[in-house]
Amino acid sequence: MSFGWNPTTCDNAHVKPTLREILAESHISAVTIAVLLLWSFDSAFRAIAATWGPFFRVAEYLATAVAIRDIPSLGPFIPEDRIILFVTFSYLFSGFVSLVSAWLLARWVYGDGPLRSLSRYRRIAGRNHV
Amino acid sequence: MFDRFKHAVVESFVGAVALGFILGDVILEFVEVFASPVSSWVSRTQYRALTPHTATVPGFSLRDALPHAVRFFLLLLVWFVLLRWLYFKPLKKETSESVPNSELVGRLQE
Repeated sequence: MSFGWNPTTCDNAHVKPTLREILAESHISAVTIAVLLLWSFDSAFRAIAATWGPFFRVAEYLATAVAIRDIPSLGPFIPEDRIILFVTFSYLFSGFVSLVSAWLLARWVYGDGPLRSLSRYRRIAGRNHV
Repeated sequence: MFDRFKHAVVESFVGAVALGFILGDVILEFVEVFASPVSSWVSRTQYRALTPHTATVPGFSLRDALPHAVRFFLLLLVWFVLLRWLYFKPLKKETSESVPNSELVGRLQE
C-alpha cells in the first residue's frame, strides 16, 4: 500500500506524486472512505426510522383485524404516507450513493473494497506509528 | 509562520481529517447537482396532490440544481487549494532531526 511518496518528509522530493498517491499517503482517502461509510449507515438508519410510523399502523391494523375477526373500516395508510415513502426513498438513495462513492474511491486509491481497504490501512498505519 | 502552521496541520492529521470530510461533501454535492431537480419535482408533485388544484406549482426546473452546483464548485476549489498547499510539496525536515543521535548523546554527556 506504500506508494513511495511521503508527505511528511522530503526524502524523495524529486518524484512528482500523482493525485492518487497523495490521497493515499496523506490519509485523506481513508478518512473520506470512513466518512462516506458512516454517512451511508446514518442514511440507512434514518430510512428505517422514517418508515416506523406506517409500519406501526400496519401492525395495529393487523392486530385489530385479528381481534375483531373482520376487516377494520379504517385502512392502515393515510395520504401523508406518500410523503413518508418519498422521504424514505431519499434517505435510501443518499445511503446508496455514499456507499457506491466509498467503494469507487477505495477501488481507485487502494484497489480493494472499502472495508478491506480500511482494515488493511489500519494495520499498516498502526505499524508505522508504534 | 505559515510553514510552522502547515507543519502542525499535516503532522497532527487535522489537515487529513478536514480534507477527508470536505472530499466526502464534494462527492455528495456532485450527486445532488443531478438528484436535486428530480427530488424537487417529485416533492412538488406530492405537494400538488395534497393541496387544492387551483394552486399553481412549477414543474421540472434545472434551477434547483444551481445552489448545489455553486456549493460543489466552491468546496472543490477550497479542497484543491488546501490539498495543494498542504500535501503537494513534502514538508521540510526540522533541523533538530538532522543532528545525529550519537552527537546529541555526546553533547548531553558533556
